[in-house]
Amino acid sequence: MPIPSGQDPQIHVPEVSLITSFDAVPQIEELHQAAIQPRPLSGLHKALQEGLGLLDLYFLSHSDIHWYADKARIYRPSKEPHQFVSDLTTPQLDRIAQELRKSLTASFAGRLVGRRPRFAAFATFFPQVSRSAMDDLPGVQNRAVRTLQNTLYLAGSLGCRYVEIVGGSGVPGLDSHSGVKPTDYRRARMDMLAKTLCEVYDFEAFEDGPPLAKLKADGRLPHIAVELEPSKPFLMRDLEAFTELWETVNSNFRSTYGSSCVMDFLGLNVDVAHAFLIGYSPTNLDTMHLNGSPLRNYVRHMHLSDHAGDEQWGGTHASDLPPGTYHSYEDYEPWLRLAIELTNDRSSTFSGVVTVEMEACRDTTEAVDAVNLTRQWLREAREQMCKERYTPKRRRSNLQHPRTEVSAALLVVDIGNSTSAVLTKQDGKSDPENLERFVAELCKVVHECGGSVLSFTGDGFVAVFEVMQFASDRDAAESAMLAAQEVCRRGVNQGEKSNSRRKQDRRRLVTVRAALHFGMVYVPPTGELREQAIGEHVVRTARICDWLGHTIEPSVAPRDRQALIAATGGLFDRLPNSIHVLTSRGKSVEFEKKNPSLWKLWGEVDCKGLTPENRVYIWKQPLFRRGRKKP
Amino acid sequence: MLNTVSAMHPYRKYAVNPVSERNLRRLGYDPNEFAHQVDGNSDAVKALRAVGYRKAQAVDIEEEVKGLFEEFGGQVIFGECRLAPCSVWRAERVQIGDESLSRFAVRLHVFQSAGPSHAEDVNVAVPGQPTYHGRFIGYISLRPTSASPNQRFGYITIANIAPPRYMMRPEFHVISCVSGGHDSEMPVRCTPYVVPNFKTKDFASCLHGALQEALLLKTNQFGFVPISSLEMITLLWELKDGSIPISEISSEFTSLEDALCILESDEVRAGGVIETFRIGDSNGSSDSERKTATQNRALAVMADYLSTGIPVILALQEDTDTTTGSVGRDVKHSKVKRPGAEGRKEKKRVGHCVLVFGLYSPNSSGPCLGSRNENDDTQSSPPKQWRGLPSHLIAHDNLTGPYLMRTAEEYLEKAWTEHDAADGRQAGISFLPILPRKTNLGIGEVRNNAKFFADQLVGQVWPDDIKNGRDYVDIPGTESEIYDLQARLIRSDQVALEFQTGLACGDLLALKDGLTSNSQPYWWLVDVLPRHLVSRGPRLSREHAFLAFVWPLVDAGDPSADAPADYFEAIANRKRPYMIVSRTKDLCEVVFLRSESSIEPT
Repeated sequence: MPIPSGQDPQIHVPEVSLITSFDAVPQIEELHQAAIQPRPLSGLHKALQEGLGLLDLYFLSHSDIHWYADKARIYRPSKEPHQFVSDLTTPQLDRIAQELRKSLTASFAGRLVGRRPRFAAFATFFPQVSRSAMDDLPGVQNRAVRTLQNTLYLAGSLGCRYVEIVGGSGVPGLDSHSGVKPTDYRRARMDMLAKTLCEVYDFEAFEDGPPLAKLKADGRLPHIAVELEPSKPFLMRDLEAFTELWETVNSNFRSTYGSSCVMDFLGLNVDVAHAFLIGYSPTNLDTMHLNGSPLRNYVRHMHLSDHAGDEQWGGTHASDLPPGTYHSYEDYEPWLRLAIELTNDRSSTFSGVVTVEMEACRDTTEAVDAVNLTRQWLREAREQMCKERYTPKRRRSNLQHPRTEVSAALLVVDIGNSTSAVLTKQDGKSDPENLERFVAELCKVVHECGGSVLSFTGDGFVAVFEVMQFASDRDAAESAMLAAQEVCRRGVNQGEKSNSRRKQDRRRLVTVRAALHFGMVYVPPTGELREQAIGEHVVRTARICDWLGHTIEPSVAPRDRQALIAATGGLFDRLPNSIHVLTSRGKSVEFEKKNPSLWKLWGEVDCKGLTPENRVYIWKQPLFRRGRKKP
Repeated sequence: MLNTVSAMHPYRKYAVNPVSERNLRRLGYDPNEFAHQVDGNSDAVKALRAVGYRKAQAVDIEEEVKGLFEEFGGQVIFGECRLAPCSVWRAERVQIGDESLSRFAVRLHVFQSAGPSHAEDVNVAVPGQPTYHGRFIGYISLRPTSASPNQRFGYITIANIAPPRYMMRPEFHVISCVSGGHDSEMPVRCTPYVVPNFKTKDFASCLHGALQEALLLKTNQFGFVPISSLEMITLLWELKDGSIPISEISSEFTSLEDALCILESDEVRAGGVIETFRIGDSNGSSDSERKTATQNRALAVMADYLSTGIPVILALQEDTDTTTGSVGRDVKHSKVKRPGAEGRKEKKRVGHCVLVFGLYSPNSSGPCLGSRNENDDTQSSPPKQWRGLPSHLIAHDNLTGPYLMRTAEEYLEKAWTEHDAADGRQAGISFLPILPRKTNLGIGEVRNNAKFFADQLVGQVWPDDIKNGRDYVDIPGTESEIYDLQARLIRSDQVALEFQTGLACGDLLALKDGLTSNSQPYWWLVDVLPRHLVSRGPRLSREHAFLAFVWPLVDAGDPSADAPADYFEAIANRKRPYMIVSRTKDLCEVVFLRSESSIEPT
């Protein structure tokens, strides 16, 4: 008898992502000149419109250069993606990161409850990474290093832990007259690729390079996952090439600054359709060893699609096809199992994500169908593993699980008087649609500020601001605080609007209570409670919000109690010294964090069963009401 | 604006207007702005500009596409047009090394234009009247960049296009495959047409193109791995261990031997046999007669290959005014160089290659040939006919176009290479059939083997009226005046099926066991046919075969060396005319003799 899905919540299935290159739009040089606004990023916009919230960003296609250049304020960008990326400065990368975050929220048409749309990884195609002096291209290697560094920085800024790369060509150009032997040439290219990677992780390589050292210190430096290409001309064309690359770093570049980092951060991106064509399987990953460890431990990320070819049966590497077009579930099953095993292995550095790759497919629905099929297959594989009593491999250590336990700023919002002010019409009948609009509006605020609404409590919600999605924990804390202010402002305004349709009635005034905190949150990516915030810190924040309602609210004058914000010391300490405060019109004004007119230190708060919170600050909220003087 | 489809078929979904407002919005355009920009252009040019081509490029592509369908007659009309991956372009782009070029090609769906009637077959477009999407004829991948200006098809990489409708008649035999699935397209029966990019300085591109076409054609049947021109160059470079710089490998003339190396490599997993026919092996009173006999022998073998679904690569010598690429062993040996820009004015003979994948064998009372309009068969006079042999061959020529039908005589004449005093090589013809992996026995040799047995057996086992057949026709260069040979490629299980009507159950099992124990998936089966029946037309022949021989494709030795005399004696005593002879490593043995009751002499 089959074990129902989810019976063993300890076995997680990987999340499923989609690479944004599924939608290819042309580069239109002539017509671009007449264009006023650059087109939105092609695949990203369409995937978000379809409600897909987990994506691998293809960085970057030719047609997207115009958008990136516009956001980075570059007026004559290079037409070559790798050149364009290498020319970007750190401030430009920061601006691009900010705009990408905005795009994620602006275009998203999926459910507002759940983790906010985010990038799981970056997919790149910079074949210049292994070009050497042998190819008479001076400066190209430096540019490749800078291109990869900038990509890593942008990915890290957006919370991506994985950047997938290709190894480039393993054959000289057709105009090469050198009589070099193929093995020697490949050796030279491999050396160059190893050198490039070492320099990428040498954070002092460029004076004006992106601050990767800081990313590393914050634990946000992305891994590089090399993808194998199933064709003779490519350098990285089989598993042996990957082990050779790693050994080259280990032996030839051991003394260089970045080599140890490369050995920690270099891994494999398994493209399952390519694996069919090349002819390797999970068994090969178990039997082949590198540095005493099986190759499966080097798998960082996984792409899933199909090609009309197989090492055993022949065929060709043509277009990406939906999984199951030429191969059956049985062919994919070993890979699905591997992905599940790695996802449940706490010592693994696997991304926990299987990404569907459908480059330039015919229609968005084709890509979405492929995503759904992959999810279904993963569930089937999990059920089979449950039947077989599979036990996840876990280390007996205190290592946090990188994919389920996240460091985040928490925001719990509760709406007071919601039943009378929002849910009930003037004639006394229930109006759930009004409450839906009301809460949706507040959820959008959280998204706009970079947070995720993980739990919906009827007339309130629990939101988290994952540090990984921000440049730092300070940014996350400040965004949560800004979101709290904006939620209060809009909530109050909406409430007043609803009330104005009736006769003004003070008993019907909406009150918005927001509690802020900072801590580790458990967010299971799959299972019945997937994408729900769980843990002590969530409970603590919720109890502080309750405390605002039953202790603070009654003690405040009715006209001042419409918006109440409390922040724990954990969050307050992480706020930057200079914080942004919203005026009643929604404008942002900068203040010193410790300005006594902004916060009041309340002191200890009882959290019912939990250790009391020692320091709780109350937001004096003086700016919300019109006509008040600024502090 | 383009109109909708005129007939209802599954390909209707591709019959969309590429410049519809919806499509333009999908591509990120403001439809009004786009309309303003492309005002005055034809529909085809508008469609191409919408996918990123400049106006001049779009005009060139429109001309190319028209040229591609010259053999079809009538006009073509564009359907869905979008960016899509293309394996050939992906490899070329690596080769060119220009990262400013798009990673994707443009995929263009093409229909024959039709009138407004809802029945496709009676639906002929009338000039001046609105045109509709008629018969779907496939899809084409276009390079995003302009190719060499001297190349006729500079933008086209692969065209998966169906044969012209007139080639679907019984007189025609065209090898095709079901393609499209690998590109996530609806399958379409076609013969893929490949045009490598001359910008890659790959002068062997015609051979590479023909090889790739052949591999694509037979991938599903034989499990080949079709690779592109760049991959072939890389493969040769590695096989030669870098002893020749890659620039020379890509620019010097490539030989059929090199092509065979590519086919037999582990990466491609195909096979082939270079069939060579020298004038010295033919009988005749004069050089002219011997040449004709040699050409006929070559054509008979080529016809056997084509009839059994095996395409062949034919090395030609073309005049420089008709070609810009060159390849071919014979050309290489004759040291004819590929002309540069300055050499184009001189008329030289240079090497070239085409993929022959079809033939035309009209009955004597059949229709005339050479028609370019599939609705009109009466435009040109019939060429010289050879009874029992195809009059025309159908080929893809990546310089001239797809589905070219030329007289066999013309192709054989172009393929003829004269005596080379330098290496003592006789005049003759060579071609390369694309066969399953590890094949080392071709139809040419199989027919020679069959002749050895047939000469001894026919006189003993055939009835007199068969031997002295009526309506005898002399074909110079063929094996015998009494019989004709036709070779076929069959699978192991088909061998048993072929003769099961006259086979006892035990024999059938023995036959099956014998075939499967040999572990050869494919076999050559040679039918020996009375000549007077062959003259009636090839379609009558198989059921009238009186002798059939079966050979494996691998490991054949010299038939005369190991055939025991008592073996033939045994056959003669039994007087059983229908038989299969299986040849193993060192012995020919009778696997099965058909029963006498199944003899039905005409």
